[in-house]
Amino acid sequence: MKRLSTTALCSLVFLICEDAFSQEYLIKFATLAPDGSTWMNVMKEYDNAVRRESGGRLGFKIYSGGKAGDEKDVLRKIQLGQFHSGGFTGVGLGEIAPKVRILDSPFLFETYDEVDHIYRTFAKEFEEAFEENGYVLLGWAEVGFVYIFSKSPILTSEDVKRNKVWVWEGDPIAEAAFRALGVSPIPLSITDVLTSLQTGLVNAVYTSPLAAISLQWFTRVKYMLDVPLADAAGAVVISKRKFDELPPDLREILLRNGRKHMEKLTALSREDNRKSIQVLQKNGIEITLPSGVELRQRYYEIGKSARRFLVGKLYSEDFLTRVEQAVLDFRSKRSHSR
Amino acid sequence: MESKVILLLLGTVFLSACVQTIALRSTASIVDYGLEAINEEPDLELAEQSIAANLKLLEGLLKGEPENERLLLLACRGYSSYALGFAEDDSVERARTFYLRARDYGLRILRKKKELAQTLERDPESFRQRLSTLSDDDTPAAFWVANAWGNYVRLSLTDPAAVADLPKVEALFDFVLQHDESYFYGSAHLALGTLYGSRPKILGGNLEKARRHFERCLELSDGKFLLAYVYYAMTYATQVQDRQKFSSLLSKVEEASIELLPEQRLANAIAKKKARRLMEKISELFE
Repeated sequence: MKRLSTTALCSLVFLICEDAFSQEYLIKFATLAPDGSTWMNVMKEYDNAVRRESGGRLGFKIYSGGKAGDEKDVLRKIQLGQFHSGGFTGVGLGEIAPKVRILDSPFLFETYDEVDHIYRTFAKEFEEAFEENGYVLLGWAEVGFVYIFSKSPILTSEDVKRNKVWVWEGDPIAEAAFRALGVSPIPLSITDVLTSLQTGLVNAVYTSPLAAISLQWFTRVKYMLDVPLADAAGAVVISKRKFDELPPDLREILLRNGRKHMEKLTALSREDNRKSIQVLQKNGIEITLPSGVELRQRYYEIGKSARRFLVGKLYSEDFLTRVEQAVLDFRSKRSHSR
Repeated sequence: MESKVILLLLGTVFLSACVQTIALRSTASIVDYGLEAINEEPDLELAEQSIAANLKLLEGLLKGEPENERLLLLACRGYSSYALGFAEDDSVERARTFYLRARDYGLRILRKKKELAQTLERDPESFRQRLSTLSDDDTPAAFWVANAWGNYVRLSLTDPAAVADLPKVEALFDFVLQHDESYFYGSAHLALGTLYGSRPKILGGNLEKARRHFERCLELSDGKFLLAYVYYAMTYATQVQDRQKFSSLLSKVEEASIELLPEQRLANAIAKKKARRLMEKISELFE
């Protein structure tokens, strides 16, 4: 009996090992998202779907929680061929194809419908921008709307000026936004923000509602300005080199499932962010909403000039104008149909 | 005549109340000893079965004495241990339910502290400030609540409301460190090490802090509480991608004698089980 169960165990172990290591094509993938997060759960579903549909020929080996380093480390490892794929935010995506950073430029979007419209309208151009630089887009997975959180209430752009505002060092987008707002922000690394809010070195920061909770910044602020500063982009990409190694049927499986699962992830993280705003309110954060067309118009103007600061650095004037026009057209069609 | 009857009646009521209390007390100490015996049990299967039965007995006793702090604390500890040692390996969903139940038993003790209770549902900063109204005697309740709550959050990362409670959990552990950092083999250090060691810096992790907490826990427990090595390997060592450290921490667990800490044979047997499982995953965890 004992011998029998040992044999059974051995063959079981063998089967498991086979399952994990026998892929003809194994994609080494890195993300900052920790195990157990919505992000990682959907990524694992993506991996399972790919394995199932390819009959086990294709699969991911996932390094979660920043084990492979930060986004720039991962990009370097992909260049060296040690990794093949990763989940990135605007920071990493901007290193690959600066043009896509237009998606997280300041005060461009007011609603997620507008965001979706622009992603759809310019999909081909963005995909080409990735490919020109050696990457293939597997799916967009945005971080979501980013808001300003502060210790004293902010409604107008004048209120922003009265604050000591943090900016992520080396983040050209936020820097342009604050410059247009007439603020000289204080550049700090993201890891210093919580302490700096505590000591009063800064008293206003920007992030998504979900991140405000997981980074615990919400414990040091009292207000959230309900005007999206930007829609922080995110995406899963794979090196073109690795992608081209795959036979056509596997490429199709990888791409189709990538789109499908990242769409699901986007929907879930929007939901998470919506819930997070409620949680923030429950924890004593007040949401301030500037009412009136004039105030909104003022933020629009600020955004417009902020986006101009980035022309030539990240994207061309022509591209910016086309994107802005597409947003405005969509917005006016929307308000007419209401 | 009537008064005699009343007296007699009163006497009977009093007597039966006494008997009941005595019965409860002695059952309570049986449960107490029972759980002690379970903690000493090195056989996981036997422990799993008896812990479940004891927990139900404990809940039965709590029906009679819903505010008995000793029983509440035992229930809090018991459900946490059951979730960590057994439920978590098979079903995260079950483990979450048990951690939550454990936390709520423990919170019934802390809710009696009026000043603190008012801030339980409020922002974390007010909660942290009110913790200063507690005393050394509250250390066990603070620790076991934080332990259950922290484990619940660890398994609930998709729920923003749960994650938002983490600062309260940290505040409770900080309280324990201030009042008796060696409580339960320095496990508040173990918990904080896990908390800071399981996330990258950019998401609020702090590996140096994590390392210091784990080292301090090992120092305070004289290296005898093996779960410390397991969580050190699982979080810090994988996060810094130190394969050698990972293996050496886990082999310490595998090589340790089960008699190293007789009163915690069960916890150490659980640590050994977890260490084996982690060791099997080494090629998944490292580049």
